[in-house]
Amino acid sequence: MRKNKISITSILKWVFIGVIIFILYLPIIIIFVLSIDSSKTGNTFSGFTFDWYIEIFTNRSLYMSIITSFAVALMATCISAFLGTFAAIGIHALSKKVKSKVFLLNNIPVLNADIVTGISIMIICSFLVTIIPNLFGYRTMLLAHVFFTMPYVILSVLPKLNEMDPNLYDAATDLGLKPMKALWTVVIPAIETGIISGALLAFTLSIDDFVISYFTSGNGVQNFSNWIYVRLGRRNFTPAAYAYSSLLTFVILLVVLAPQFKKSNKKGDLQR
Amino acid sequence: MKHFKYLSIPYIIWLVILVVLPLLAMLFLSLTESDGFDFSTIKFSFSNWASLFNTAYLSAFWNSIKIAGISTIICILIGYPISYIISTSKLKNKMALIMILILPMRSNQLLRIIAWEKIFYPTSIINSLGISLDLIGTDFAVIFATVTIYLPFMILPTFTVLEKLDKSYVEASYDLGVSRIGTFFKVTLPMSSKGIMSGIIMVFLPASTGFAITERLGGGKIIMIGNIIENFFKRSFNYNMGSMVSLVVILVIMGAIVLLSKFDKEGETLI
Repeated sequence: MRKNKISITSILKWVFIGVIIFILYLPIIIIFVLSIDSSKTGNTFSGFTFDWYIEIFTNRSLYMSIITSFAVALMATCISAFLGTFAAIGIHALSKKVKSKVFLLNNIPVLNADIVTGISIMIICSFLVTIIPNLFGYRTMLLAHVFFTMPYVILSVLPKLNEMDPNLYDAATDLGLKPMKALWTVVIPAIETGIISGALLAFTLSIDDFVISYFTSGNGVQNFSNWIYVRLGRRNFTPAAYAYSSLLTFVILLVVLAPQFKKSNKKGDLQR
Repeated sequence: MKHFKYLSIPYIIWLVILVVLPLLAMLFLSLTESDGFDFSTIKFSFSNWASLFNTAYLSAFWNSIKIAGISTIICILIGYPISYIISTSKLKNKMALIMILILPMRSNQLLRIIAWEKIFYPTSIINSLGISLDLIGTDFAVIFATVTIYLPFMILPTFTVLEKLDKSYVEASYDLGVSRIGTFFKVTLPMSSKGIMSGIIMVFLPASTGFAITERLGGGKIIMIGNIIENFFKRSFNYNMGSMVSLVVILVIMGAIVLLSKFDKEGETLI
């Protein structure tokens, strides 16, 4: 009797998780349905089409915004991963007391509301516009993206630095390597996984960003999310945006989930 | 490696410039009246701050707290049990299941909001399934969308702490004769409070300051503080009032960050 009761509650548990997974994926399914719906407004389903997938490559303003998203995300990721790693090594070397203060500062861009981060960078740049005209655009967007992604790289690298055997570096310098050389040949390989997961996180956050880019771009430069936002409900909106997003989501699902099912559970490498 | 300390200095300067300087600029703007960033007609005034208690702003603040608060509570009630079920299960590949739950947030957030908008109008693609909803402009629509968008932010930190939790404490509690429910409330829950705290902040802060969800699903009836700020900075270009409202929001956020740092010193539940 008791055994039977346990199995019912355990079924209910998994049904609960199943329902939640369904609700979380429903918007993605809806976007996919809209991407193959021939109706331009997306208010009714009027038949299958793949035209919107072709339009991704023919609608100039759309594919320019997609290129902008990728260009900014790639550049921001490289800069954040590179500078963030060195900043993390520096923070790791600080005394405990100073470290906790730097952590507090480092967490501000992570926890701060996107709208506040966006406005902060926008205001700083607006003051600079008098010196550098037409500043708003790629440069301001890149600055903002580096600003909000770098703390994530640092948060991913620091635990790896804590795990690393501190004697590793001392051994390298004792064997005659110069500090920078030792850093490059011994420390960086030891914290590599942290750098890679931090960079991946930076890239995914940057490419999807809407709010921060909305406030910091300008002069006609738009990333994909901004492109959608200003066109919603207007005639120049096209379901090709749904098509592109469905493709991208599919690729992300594949890239992230495939290795998860290949190798068995590897603890510790949590990724957002 | 102690001599690499100096590598942190440029980063600290960078953070101070980009975090502290904008705050000072906002304080300056909020205490003045100017024509955008044209300061030729600038004059100091307290009128921006005096209008803080305008009912329009107060109700926007209240809406933000109410909607984000209810959404956060629902996220705890759904997210924590999910983390608990998965972490206590005998599944081999727990991480893969967590990944499946987390992944939707890697899909474009704005489009996921639009997906709900598309089916919340009476005429929609789900009419062909015989369903017609009329939810635009209701609190339900906004809260529902907020929960679906931010739930992964609650699952991840709570799962992280539950996985790291030393199971021998739980076993010790059982051995000492405490019931399953008693053990949960006396051992598991207090030991995972750090994750819940991170989750609350990671859901509540973006949920209360966003503007896209209310903009698309609020039907112009539900105004949150994010909509007010967006309006000042991107539509009416009143940077002085915008700065004043933003500063109030920032004060609340700073309080939350300091509060979190008491729980999670190294930010390990943030990623």
